[in-house]
Amino acid sequence: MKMEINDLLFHRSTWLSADTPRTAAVSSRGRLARNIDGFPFAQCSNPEQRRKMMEMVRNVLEKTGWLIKGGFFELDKLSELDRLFLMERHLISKDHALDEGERAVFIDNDEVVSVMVNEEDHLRIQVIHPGFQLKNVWETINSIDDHIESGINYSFVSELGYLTACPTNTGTGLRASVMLHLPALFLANQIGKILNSITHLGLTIRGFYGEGTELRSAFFQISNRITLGQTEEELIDNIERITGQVVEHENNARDNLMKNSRAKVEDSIWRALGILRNARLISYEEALEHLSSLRLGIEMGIVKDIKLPAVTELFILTQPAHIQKLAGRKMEAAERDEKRAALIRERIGRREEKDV
Amino acid sequence: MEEKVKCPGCGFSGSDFKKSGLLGCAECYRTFKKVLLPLLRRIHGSTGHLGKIPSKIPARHGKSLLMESQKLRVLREKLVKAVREENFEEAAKTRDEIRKIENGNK
Repeated sequence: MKMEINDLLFHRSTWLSADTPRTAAVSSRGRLARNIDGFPFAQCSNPEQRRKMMEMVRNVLEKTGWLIKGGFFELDKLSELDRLFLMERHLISKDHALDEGERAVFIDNDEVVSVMVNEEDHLRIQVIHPGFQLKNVWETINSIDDHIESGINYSFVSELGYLTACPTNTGTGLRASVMLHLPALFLANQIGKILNSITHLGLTIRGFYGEGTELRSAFFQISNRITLGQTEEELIDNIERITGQVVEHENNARDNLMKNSRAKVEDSIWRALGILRNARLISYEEALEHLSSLRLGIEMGIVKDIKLPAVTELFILTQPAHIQKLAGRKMEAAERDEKRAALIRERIGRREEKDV
Repeated sequence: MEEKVKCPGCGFSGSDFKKSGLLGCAECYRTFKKVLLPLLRRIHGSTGHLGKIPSKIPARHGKSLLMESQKLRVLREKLVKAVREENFEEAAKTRDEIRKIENGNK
């Protein structure tokens, strides 16, 4: 059966399902930048060449059996709301959602794999898994890359590796990242310190949506900065090792919080849950803040009747395009706030007899 | 930066690259080699790919784009291997050999 955009609305993305407390890792992601030999990079291609590229990628996905396992969408034929919806689900980048011209994305049914066509590079292959499993990410993405390469010649030279539009991706073309929830370090104002030390180790730390997003919530993505001069396995080992250390810092900060200000922490977690369960109007920013506290409460075993994936999923569902998709129409901000509050109550509201 | 140099592959000029930070096509890597190689070294601390190699490389790409010798590449791989195995004596020796070739090319 052919996938439609609306099918995604009632599906929980696989990467949201991590249910292992005290790891702080929400999801692990990898993306490969690839270009097709013999064509100018996407921004220099003419519409005819861009269409040809989409056709080539679609054909190879069909031949290798991927196409029937998902949907292939031409973005210039989708509404702006649908494109923002895909961006909110982390299936396409912000640029890919907002750019113009002939471009596409393939999404597999589990929302593990997405392949953007004509983003900054001809191909951006992405894989997201739940929790802390970068090695599996590399295994999956490496095999899809092999499949696509079976029908397409990539731009590659032996000394420099895969040639990309931006020199920051040249070589492996691999950007691997782990999304972390670090509320205790965030509360203790220690993110800046960590950011500093990470930069010296060849890694970058970014906000919820990757490049250019602010560090305003307790969610962070740690990714490799360099792509050339190391093997993919080395790049991934490095992120894994340092992410492990950051998680350790976070767990220590949590222990300290509980030791030194237990009542204050518990109070803020229960207040957050109180607001989420009772608010009649709530903005995305406010929801994000309280959901972050609630997530901490569940991970620390303070809140017991709500499951972690349900909360992680709300971070996605409460975003503006999702609220409008769920309502089936466009809405102004004030109206969205009401719908958002209702959705949160429906998902994690108090139910006396039923396990949520 | 040679702002007026145009890439024969896509017509991209040096000033286009400077403005956008992006290259126009694979051929640009050769056209803007002089500024690109030091830039890659600044960004990545290296100018030698050690990662995945596609199973089929088009024949014309067997040729060296940047004229780096095969020998240098073999040495780089040897260096990584030595460091990984913590064979530091071997690593230092290999690094010196790489430096010698790189300096000779200047």
